Amino acid sequence: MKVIGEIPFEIRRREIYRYLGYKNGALPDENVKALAEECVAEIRKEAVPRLVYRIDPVSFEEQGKVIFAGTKVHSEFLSRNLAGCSRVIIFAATLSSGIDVLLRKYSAIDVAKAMTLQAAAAETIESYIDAAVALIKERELTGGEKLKPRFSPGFGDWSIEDQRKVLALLNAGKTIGVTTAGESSMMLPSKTVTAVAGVYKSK
Amino acid sequence: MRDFIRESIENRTFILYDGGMGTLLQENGLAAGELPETMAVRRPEVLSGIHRQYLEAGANIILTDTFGANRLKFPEGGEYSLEEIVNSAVRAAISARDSFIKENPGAKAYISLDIGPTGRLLKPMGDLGFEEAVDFFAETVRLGRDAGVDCITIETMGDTYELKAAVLAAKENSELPVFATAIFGENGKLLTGADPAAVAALLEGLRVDALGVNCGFGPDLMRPVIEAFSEASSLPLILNPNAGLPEESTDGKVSYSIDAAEFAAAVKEIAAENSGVIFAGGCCGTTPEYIKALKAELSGIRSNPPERKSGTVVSSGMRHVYLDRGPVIIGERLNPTGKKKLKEALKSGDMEYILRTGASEEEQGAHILDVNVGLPDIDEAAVLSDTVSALQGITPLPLQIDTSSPKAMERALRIYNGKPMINSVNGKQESMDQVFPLAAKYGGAVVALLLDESGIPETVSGRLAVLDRILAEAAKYGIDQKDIVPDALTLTISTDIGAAKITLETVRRIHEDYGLCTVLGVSNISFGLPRRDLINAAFYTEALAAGLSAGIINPGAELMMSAYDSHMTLSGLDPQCGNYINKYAGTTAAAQVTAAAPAAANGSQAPEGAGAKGNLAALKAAIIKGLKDGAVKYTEEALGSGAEPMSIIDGALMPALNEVGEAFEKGTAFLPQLLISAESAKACFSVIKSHMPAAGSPGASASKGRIILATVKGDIHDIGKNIVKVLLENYSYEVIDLGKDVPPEKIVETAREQNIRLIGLSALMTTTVSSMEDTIRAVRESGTGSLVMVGGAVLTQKYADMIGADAYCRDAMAAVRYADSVFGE
Repeated sequence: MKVIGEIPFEIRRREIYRYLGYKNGALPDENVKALAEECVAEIRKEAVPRLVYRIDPVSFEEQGKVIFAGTKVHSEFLSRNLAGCSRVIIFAATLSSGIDVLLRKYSAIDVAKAMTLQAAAAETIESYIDAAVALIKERELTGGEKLKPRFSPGFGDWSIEDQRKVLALLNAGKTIGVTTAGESSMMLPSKTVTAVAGVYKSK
Repeated sequence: MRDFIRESIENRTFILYDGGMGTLLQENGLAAGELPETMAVRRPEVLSGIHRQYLEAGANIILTDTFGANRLKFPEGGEYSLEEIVNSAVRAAISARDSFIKENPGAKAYISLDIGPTGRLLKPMGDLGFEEAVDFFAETVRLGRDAGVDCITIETMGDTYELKAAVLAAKENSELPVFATAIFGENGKLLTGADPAAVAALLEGLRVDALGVNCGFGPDLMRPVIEAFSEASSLPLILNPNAGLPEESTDGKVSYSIDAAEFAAAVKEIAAENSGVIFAGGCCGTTPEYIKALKAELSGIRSNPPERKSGTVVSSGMRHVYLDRGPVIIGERLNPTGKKKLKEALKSGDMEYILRTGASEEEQGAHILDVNVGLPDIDEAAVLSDTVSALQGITPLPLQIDTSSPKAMERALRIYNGKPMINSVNGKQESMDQVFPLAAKYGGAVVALLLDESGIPETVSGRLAVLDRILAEAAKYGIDQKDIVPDALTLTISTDIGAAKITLETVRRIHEDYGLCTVLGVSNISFGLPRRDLINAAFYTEALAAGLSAGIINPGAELMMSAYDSHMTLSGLDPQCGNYINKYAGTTAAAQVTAAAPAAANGSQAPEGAGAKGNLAALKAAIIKGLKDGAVKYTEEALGSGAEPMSIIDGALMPALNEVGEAFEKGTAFLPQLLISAESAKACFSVIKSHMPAAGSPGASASKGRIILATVKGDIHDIGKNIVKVLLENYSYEVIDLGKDVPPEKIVETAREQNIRLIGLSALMTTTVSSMEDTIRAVRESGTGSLVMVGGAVLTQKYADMIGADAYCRDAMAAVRYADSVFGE
């Protein structure tokens, strides 16, 4: 199990606008753009992004059962996603609870900003993961090995409840401070992603 | 055991903790997935054997196998009872200790109850209540105490709030020594954001016997954390690192990066270089071999006793603030005295207004927020603790708990996440009898008003005499004098022309002769005078020059802030005048602004003669563009020129909202624009409302209907719900906001009591849609006849139909439209 802390990464404004609903070439006005910039600046200041990962062999059983790190999960989609892979990177990443303080604050006092902050934070965690996964790839993959796109509990038929299993495998409470709320599968801090990415040999 | 600690400090020796447990248990048959705590019941002899090995290696403190022994992991009726787990674990440790002592008479060996985190996050970060957490820990503490442990070690805590819950539980249920260590990240902070100085402030306030760091990483990466603790804390420190970083082999076996010799050498180096490191041992990956090597290394050097620190510090769950390293600003706006809007907000439970006030004080540059909710006709204890709770969820600033009610003070101190300012105690015996026990129990820097039974002394020496008595009384409670922050008392200059001189001289004397930090409510000075801002700023400047540490001021008052910024620059606390230049370059002198203002006002009044009252077209345009400041300005001008509130609402606010709303529905405007406009309109409504007579206002009668909004049980997302709320309020609906994670019963009860026709429910996760379904069923069964509209990211029309909702609202405008259809527009 290894933890990646802060690394350089870009926060893509276009993605923030897309989360805010600006699609098909529509662009926000200066007012919304300025708000997005404010949010990005606050996130850069408060976020302490962390990612914990491990790499384990993966095997498959009939009917979409996937086994890694002694854990069995059931998902036809995941099974198809990981077809041809011998190993998986299992990871969880979070922007830390400081972002939740901001979200709570603006949710109470300025919903326009809260919503923009949500969008900016969603883009931040995605881009951070992209950068961290690129680093893992560089560190851990041998020549000729490639990565499948990452796949998270809650995608397709992979139960969102399995987030708890992924977090347990990564000892996420201790390693990056992520837990779930009681018996539910809601992760805390809220800007947290769990996923697996298959490693396969390209021909 | 406390004697042993004292002797170790005096003799400059070390106290050794044991090392890791998990790996050893696995080697002795604990299977993956099994709870380590169950070994105490199933294989007590294995556990005793491990304890024994650690004692032989030289450990003075062995931790019981109870890291996860709490009611959450061992619920009532489970395979193992919590009692059984704790009792067996302590028994196994006692048997190892007793046999070891028998063979090694005179050896120092103590048994510590081990307490780890619950694994849940506390509210508002998570969903576990603070008192619930205290109860969980208390249960384990009582069991350990009764089973005969010598001390309690609270470890691997990643959150100051949970740390506080555990320490309180330990203190309230035993007299045993309490040691507390936290787990830090590679950035030198807890995962929830606190740095070592903030952790030390909290733990010293709660009076633990020693504090420090464990787990997370090896000794090398712990060095900066220990250095920071050593600089901040006067207590003995604990250093329990891992055996470096974990490395996984291909077969999944975990090993650690440094061996016993490297480990021991690294710990020795840190202990030799930092004052206060008295306790050392190991955490994950360390074994008796590591402790043995550590014992050998440490017996070659002498420990450095902890050094007393004189700094006055307060903290929140996220940061610390020193009062003696340059003056700080305490925001005064959260105090209802003379503030009509805050009074109303407190009475009506309008937390939003309160949070907004606190957040703007933070933005304006306050370092600490004073929180006072004292009003004659409210339940002050409940409101104060709710307010403190809500504020600490949205601001990293430490709070000053300001109340004259001991009951309200205790409740707020208890749930406060950190070491607060306590406002206040005074020289009256009754006051000291009430406040000091609370400060001694919960920690805090106590504001001490220099008055007593015979009133406010008129002389400097009189006030200092009161201070002497307060300090002497505080000492009886073990309260360090650095945690007494005298308030020299600001009296009104217009009734006593000598008042300011006495106050300033008292501040100077306390600063110079006592070396204590001081606090002052600044603006009292100018009561009854014109242009109070001028006198206030001048007095504040003089007080800062006299050595004032913390002024309680309005951080929104420009002259006060410029006095502060100028003082910081003049006293050399603003390197290269950087902050000053940054803040004031390109700004205009206040005098020029005020001179220019009447001209501008005249200009805007010009069209009035032409018949239009205020510039409603400009107001409408400002709202559509989402220019909040401009919109507020136009609204104030319109009201100032005599426009009727309703004519502003009907002539500008509603048309603007309708235009943006329609553009949004057509897809030509987007949600952020809609919300920015809505927020701007909301700010205008609030200005208009403050101009309306309180009772029977047109605003009240203009309500189109009352609607309950709630995020359903199990779901703590509330932004979607809040968006709907803002829009509904814009459209003149009265929203009863029940918040998030709301149980069905509460919704039904409110609907019945208040005869509500429409309920809006929000759910953000597929897993909480079922809870939405339960709520709808409960509403149906209640017979209130309320309609239910639902919305949220995962919902669709199909889903909404399936769970029996009356309407699915794809967005906030759809909720407004549905409400209009229900309330018959």
